[in-house]
Amino acid sequence: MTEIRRHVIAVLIDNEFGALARVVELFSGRGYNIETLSVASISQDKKLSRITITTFGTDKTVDLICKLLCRIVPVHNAAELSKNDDYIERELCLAQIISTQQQLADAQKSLKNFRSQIIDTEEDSTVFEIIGSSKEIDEALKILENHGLATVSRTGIAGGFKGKKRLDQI
Amino acid sequence: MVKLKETNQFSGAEIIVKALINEGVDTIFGYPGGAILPFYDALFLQNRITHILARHEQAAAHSAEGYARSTGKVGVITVTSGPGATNTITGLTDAYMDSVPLVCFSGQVATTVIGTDGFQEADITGLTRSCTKYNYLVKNVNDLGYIIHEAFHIARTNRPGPVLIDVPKDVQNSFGIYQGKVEINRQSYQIKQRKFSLNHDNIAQAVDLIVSAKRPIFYVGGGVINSGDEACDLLAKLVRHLGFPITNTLMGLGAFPATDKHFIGMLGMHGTYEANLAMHECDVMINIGARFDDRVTGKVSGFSPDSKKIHIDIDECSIDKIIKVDVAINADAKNAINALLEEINRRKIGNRRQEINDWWQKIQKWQSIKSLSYEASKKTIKPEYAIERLNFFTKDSQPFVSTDVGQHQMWTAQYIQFDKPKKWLTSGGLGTMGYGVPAAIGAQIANPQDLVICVSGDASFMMNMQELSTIKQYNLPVKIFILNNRYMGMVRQWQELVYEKRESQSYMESLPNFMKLAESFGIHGIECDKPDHIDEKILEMINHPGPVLFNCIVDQSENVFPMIPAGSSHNEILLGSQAKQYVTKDINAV
Repeated sequence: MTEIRRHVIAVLIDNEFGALARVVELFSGRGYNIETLSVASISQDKKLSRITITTFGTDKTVDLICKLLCRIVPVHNAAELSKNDDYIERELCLAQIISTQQQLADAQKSLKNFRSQIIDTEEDSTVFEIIGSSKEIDEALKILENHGLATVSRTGIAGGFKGKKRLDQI
Repeated sequence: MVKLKETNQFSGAEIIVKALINEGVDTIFGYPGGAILPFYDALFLQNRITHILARHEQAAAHSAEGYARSTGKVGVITVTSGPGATNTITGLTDAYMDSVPLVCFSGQVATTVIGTDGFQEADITGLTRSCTKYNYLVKNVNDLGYIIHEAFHIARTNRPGPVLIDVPKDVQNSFGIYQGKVEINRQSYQIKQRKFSLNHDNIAQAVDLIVSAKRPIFYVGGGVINSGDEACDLLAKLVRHLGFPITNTLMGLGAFPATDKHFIGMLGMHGTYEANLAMHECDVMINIGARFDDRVTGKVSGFSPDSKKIHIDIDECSIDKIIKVDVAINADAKNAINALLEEINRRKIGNRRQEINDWWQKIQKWQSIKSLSYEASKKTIKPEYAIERLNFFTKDSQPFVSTDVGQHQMWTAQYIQFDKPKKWLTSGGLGTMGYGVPAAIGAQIANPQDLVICVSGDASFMMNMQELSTIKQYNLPVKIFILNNRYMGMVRQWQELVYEKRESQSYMESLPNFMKLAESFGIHGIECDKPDHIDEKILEMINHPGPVLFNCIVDQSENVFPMIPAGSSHNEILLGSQAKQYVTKDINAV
């Protein structure tokens, strides 16, 4: 219970100003850092948003945060995805390298086993799009460090339960 | 740009007035200022709503709390932007901690100025996000009516709490549609309400435990009072039917009659010996509407080690937060108690008094210790004695009693017997000094014919004493009974017990002459420093038709006992005679 571990939490919330601040405050008020956060509206009418958060903390505190999240007026549902292993996560990363042609060729070769592609090139700058779990992206970036890695932009993860299990059925 | 008025269009200020009337509001508490002037103008032009002018916005908020808690209705506050709004934050936080339904309207600088550091601008929705149940910044006058009705709905339903509506000045001035009181259909909030469906398995499990109990206890909090008078009646029925002992939290006083033989006193840090030991030794605990607050549990790891616990609470966040329970019932107290009674009747379970006779005998043995006794004095007024006499002379009229925070608060909780809910107004969760006088004002406004007493301390009283002016203006017959020990008594008590009597900053130097203070506000002053005179002076206070400021000069060094030392368990409770055995187990506990 007191062991610090990584937690992934998903929240369905009305898309209104201040909503994200209400969510974030529950973490910051407890001295918890949010490692990643992604948010976007997910309904056609743009009225509902989904937030995915990763944080490090104890099970007990994260359980309480999840209950408190549910208490926030505009929150429809909130739950920890990472309670068991039955969840999926993906992150997108844009990684720019400044490199010689040889370094670029090496980088492409090294990233062969990752879901990546080049989405922008200009002179000696190349931007890779990499998709995977956070762990996979960490690994890809580690490789690129040896090939002229310059700037990185990561989305943080989007996550969900495996199979038909839904957030509003927890 | 202000739109010209069209048919069936109203200014934002008028919409606020109309929506308040449609919510059944007849009294509001507030203080005008630049950004809320359009509303105050609309208020001037109507005669359905009475505005009570406080002398400080914090006091307006506490008055609204006193009004709400003594009636069960939503309290309403109207203040201006910037400092007007920030001054309410203590009151809003207090209401949030003690689950008091409030709606606070704050004026705001015009939408075009927001974010530019305008005069008297404060980001009040940002500042109050963590001390309100919900808050709004209204940017379009056409949304205002619905928002107000939704705010009232949110404030009073589920676990009640404060809601703030920030209304920029241009929104108050512009014209828009108001469709009257409409049904609230906010889906995310309806999901939360749907959760409170009673699960028969849970009720059955709870009744299984109740039947098997050899050493049961009811541990009841303010949630039952918030649930309503019917919940309190059902609770009394349940407790008497089963013949179980019951203890109330500070917030729960009055939920069950204090003069009933099943009641064994308040529990917690300054609760009775019998209530705390019964909590420690019970085998089945039935918690209804209480949240295992740290004033109650003491050291969590030593809390009621051998009991099965049932917890009924409307707020899921309170369940398993501090203490893991065996049967959790996430429901409104009234519905849950009713379901328990139905199941008990269905199983034809009768009175359990005989089955738990050994337990009652044990409790009576603890009661015979008389943990609330104190050393009497003929020279100085013992504060306990003063409150005992106050209770003696006022209990038949069942007064509303508010307090501030500290020693006097605990003595009042210990010695005033509350037989009815909503009579006891105290700042439990936040512990706000300065709460008592304005809360009494709110209660007196709501209950003009009833006796309203504010028991205060010399230090607490001075935190909101400007409200004497409000009392005078509205000629409110509030009786302020100050237990004056020339100290911040509870701070001094901790310094004596924990910090080897180093009285750091707790002496109240330069107190005012309270008689002259009362006189200067045009209020009747009474002073008493002799135990022999206290009876006649209390009678003088009660019989005086108008407001009274009573300066009761009491023993300076009296401490509140019994006391569970911070960081200790219930069974480590100390009586007054054992004060020397005080050991600080956890210097970080408060």
